[in-house]
Amino acid sequence: MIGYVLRRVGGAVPLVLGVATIVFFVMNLAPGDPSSLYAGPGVSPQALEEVRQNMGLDAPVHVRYIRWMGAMAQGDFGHSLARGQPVRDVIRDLLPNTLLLSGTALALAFLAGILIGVLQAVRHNTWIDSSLSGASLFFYSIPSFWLALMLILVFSLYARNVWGWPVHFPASGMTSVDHAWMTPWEQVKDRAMHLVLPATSLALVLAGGIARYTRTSMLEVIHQDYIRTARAKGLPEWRVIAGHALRNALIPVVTVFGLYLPLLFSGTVFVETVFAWPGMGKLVVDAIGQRDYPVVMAGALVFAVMVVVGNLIADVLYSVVDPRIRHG
Amino acid sequence: MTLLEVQDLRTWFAKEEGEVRAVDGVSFHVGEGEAVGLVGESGCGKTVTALSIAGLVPDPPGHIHGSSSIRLRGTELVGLPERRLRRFRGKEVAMVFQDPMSSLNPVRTVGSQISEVVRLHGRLGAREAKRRTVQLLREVEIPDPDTRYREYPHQLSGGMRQRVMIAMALSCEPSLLVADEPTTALDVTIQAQLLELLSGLRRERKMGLLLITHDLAVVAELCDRVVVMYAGKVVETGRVKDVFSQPAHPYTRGLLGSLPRIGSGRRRLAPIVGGVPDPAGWPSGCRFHPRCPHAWGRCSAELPSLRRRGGRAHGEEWTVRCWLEEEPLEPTPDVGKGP
Repeated sequence: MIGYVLRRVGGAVPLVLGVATIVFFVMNLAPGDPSSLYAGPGVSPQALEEVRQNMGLDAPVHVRYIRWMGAMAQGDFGHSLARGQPVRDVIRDLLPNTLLLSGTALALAFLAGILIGVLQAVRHNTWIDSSLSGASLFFYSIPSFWLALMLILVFSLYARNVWGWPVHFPASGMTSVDHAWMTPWEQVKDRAMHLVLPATSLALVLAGGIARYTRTSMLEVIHQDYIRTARAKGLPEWRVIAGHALRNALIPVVTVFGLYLPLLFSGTVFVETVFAWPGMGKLVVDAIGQRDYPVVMAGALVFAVMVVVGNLIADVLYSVVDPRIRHG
Repeated sequence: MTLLEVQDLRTWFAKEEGEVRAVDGVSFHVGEGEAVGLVGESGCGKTVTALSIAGLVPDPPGHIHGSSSIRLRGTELVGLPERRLRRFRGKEVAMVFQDPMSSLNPVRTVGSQISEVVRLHGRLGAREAKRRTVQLLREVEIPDPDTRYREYPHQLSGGMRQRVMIAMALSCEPSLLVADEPTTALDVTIQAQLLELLSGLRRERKMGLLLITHDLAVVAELCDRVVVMYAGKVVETGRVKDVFSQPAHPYTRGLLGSLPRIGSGRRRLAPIVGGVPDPAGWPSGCRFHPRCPHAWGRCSAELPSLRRRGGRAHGEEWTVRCWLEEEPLEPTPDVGKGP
């Protein structure tokens, strides 16, 4: 098992290098560079050339590539042009926020998706099944940023200002302004409240797809001979489903886990922007606007690594769920 | 008291093409400790009969008619609420299915699958259940049961898996074992071993056995009585030695006649012409008449009833559903004389 994981990590290295290369050339072969932005408007060509030299932009592209890769290999992601901070520090500060948001969304999505899918399969061809199918398809079809805006509208704005609900959720940020003055318990609650809407808007979109996969897979499993065996033992139906059918039905759903990670991370880019969530997604969007090349490149790389690691986790999960792979 | 008493069992399925009468008025019984073979071609309702007894017919589309009766030691199982039926399943009535490859859960160890039953019905603790499971594995002659306990079905051969299924079925000392073609999916040498094991365990425990098969040789070897089914109905029942030596129903004769026999010279096999009709529309009258070499006018018009073979010394329980029994034809054609 450990040998397998190490082999997979080894295999991922060239993949990440390839991604880094593509990211670098896409950014650097695009017309324009950040120098004019940082030199300010109306500077002389000489001054601009000086800025370019200072930023190392005068060197030929292949030299810059080698320099960049060399620096990356030493863990040096460069300096953020817009924030005046090492990129590494920026990522260190913001990556945990993104992991918190996407981790919560992923957990919610799988929990809800699997529950709904199982319920649909067990109540196959009833009104419960068809209405949940409709709902799944709806959430599966809409983009998460639109859903995010609608959630803000309903559960933040209308809930507070129009309907005066006792419970409403903050529309932006990770914490309230008075966060620093709260008791530790209130701080946890404050963070949780801020997490609800962004995590929900990410999760619902994913949950729709997961529910559809789970339903199909579960329906297939329910008709297997070993389910009949489980019934013949005299087990109550819920134990047949939970103890025998579910784990078999989850094997294909693990594939979805790997497939949905890119979807999840691209979702965070939008959702973090909509909710002003200080994470990697918002960082990259801001950096693109500011032509903060080092941040954009490092950010893209971090997302790539997260997808690769996620797929690695999916492969390990496979062997956890299916003993035939473990011993195969 | 009779162990299992099935009376007028009707299990119908609502399908798009109409009502499929898979089992249509089947009656038979299994005595305490008795082995009964249920034979017939594929598609004649054997498996549905077995599933009906265990209450495992998927409803919908399947449905057991309210007029049917399945009594286990006097308790009526038809119409019993699911919760009470579960107490019989696995405990009083255990099943062994045809395909051991697909009948075990691939993601759970064989040990956990057996001990689950032991814990469910025997109310044992985890450690007790494990001890009992290992002992069961030993009883079904699985070598190195402690190691096998922790293994998954895919690590076992087909024969081993069927032994696991048998261990599972025997775990709660059921009074009736329903075995649905338990050896069909296995190769011949393994078949013989398993059947020997099964009949030994059965005798030890004085357990009733309903053995569903299309292998008449197996029935001859293992069973006391035989029930021959055709097209959802019983056509002949009786003691194995009577029925197999002097089959009365043309269908039973046909089945026996299609068997190759050592020492009978270069006799041509006499297969039954045609195939089992579609259960969505059984033939009128005697359902066997389109394939029967002796069919006459009455056969296609009226369904004969199951009659006791009167006036003979062969036990009291030899019954046949055939018009020939009531109005015998003069010369009996020489089709598949018994052994």
